Amino acid sequence: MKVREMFACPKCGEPLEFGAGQCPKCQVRLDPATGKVRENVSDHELHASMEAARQKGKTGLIMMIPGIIMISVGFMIGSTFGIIVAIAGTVLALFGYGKSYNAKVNFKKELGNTMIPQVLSEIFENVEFQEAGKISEDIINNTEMHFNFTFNRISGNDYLKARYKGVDLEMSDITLDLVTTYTERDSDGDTETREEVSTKFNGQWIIFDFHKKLVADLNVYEGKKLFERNKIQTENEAFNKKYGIACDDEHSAFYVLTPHMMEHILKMDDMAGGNTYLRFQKDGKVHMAVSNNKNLFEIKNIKEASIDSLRGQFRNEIRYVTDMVDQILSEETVFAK
Amino acid sequence: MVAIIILVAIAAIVIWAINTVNGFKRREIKIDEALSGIEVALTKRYDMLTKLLDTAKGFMAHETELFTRIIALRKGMSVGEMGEADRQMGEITGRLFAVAEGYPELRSSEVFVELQKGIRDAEEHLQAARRLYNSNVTGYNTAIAMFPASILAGGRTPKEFYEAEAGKREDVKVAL
Repeated sequence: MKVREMFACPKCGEPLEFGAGQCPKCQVRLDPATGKVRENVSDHELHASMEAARQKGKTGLIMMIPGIIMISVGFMIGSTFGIIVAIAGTVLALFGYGKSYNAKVNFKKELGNTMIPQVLSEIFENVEFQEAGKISEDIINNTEMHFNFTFNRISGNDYLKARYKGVDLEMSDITLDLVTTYTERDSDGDTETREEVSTKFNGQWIIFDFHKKLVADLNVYEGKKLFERNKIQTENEAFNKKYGIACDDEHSAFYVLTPHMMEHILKMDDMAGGNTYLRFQKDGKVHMAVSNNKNLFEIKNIKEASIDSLRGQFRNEIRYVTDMVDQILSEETVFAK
Repeated sequence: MVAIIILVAIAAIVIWAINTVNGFKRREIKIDEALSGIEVALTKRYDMLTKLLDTAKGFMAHETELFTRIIALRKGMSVGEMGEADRQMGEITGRLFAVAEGYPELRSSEVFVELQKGIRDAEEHLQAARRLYNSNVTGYNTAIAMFPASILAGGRTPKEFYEAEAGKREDVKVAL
């Protein structure tokens, strides 16, 4: 009996047969001869993967159609036979949906191992990208961002750690949910625990380290209460109206919020398309959370996308972050070099 | 019943008057605090500039014009006097950096680079202190001018804004 040589995937640890060209779990491409991660994958190979994902997606959707028909027919027939047909149809439809969904997810994972790090490395230094990673929950919980909501569950993906023009940054897509658990009692007296999830924030969380220490922490936040008037009033009326400003030291607020900085924040908020929350910390880090209901590096429509269009899309998404750093590093802010 | 209403109305007016006058006082204290912040920032900038000029002297001894200007900085200066001192320091700093362009050894010296950063930091703090002061003055001047609070403003007059004018240039004697 031939003994198959096995090895562990260098990225996720999944057991693989020696000679495997790709890990089925994390989708990382491997050199079949050495088992090591292949850093450079050609556009031709990516295109082939994309086509395979499209086909699987199509197949999945096609499988859903008879499944849905079987569910409808089953309910129309009624009786035991109808229920069996409906259940079979449900299984088929779910299987088809799963196949279509997984095709897209797996292709996204592959991009996360190949194209996305390549695009990021063109723009940033010391790139570390984890498609399934996110900013640490401890950081998010301890940052004391001035949110006008509470949350008790954090999820996210597309974690990036890198350096741009001397500024260290971390970012990821983040979703903050408020999960409420309650118990329902039915007429028989049986209780059932249910969960209600309310999404309070969905967007990006970015941490910049400008290495510029401050005297006090400063919060700038959208969504202040009606008729809430800031204790700290800057000379920019539009800024005072739009944002709440909270800081223990008035001088520090004016120190950070220069006229140019306030203009940058207003402009960048317009571009972001969602509520913006900023926290300038004493240690020099600036946390920015933008609740724009957008996820970075997502494949919106795999049927119409191409490798080049995806590359262009990812570059554009990152430009928002680099433009922000460029503006903050410009002459008229305290973070300028 | 009418008497109670009248009493309540009088009480409300008295409370309002107390709050308004206290509000004026609070704003005056904030303005004094902010002015003190400007003094601190100006002093820090002056100290940095002095050290920078001392460092530069060693490299450009013959640039006598740069080292023969006097900026008088003392405690309790008026807003106008502070503004004038601020303007003069800005002028000297600008000239020093312009002349330093011709002295690569000076520009590359560690001490000079550090002092340059220090002056920039001091200027940023001065700008913040200036803006905070003016913001408090705006609030105060508005409060004493608005009816009906203006009735209680009494002899209070609007405060002077801080302006670092780029106005007329004079030959000012400077001693370090």
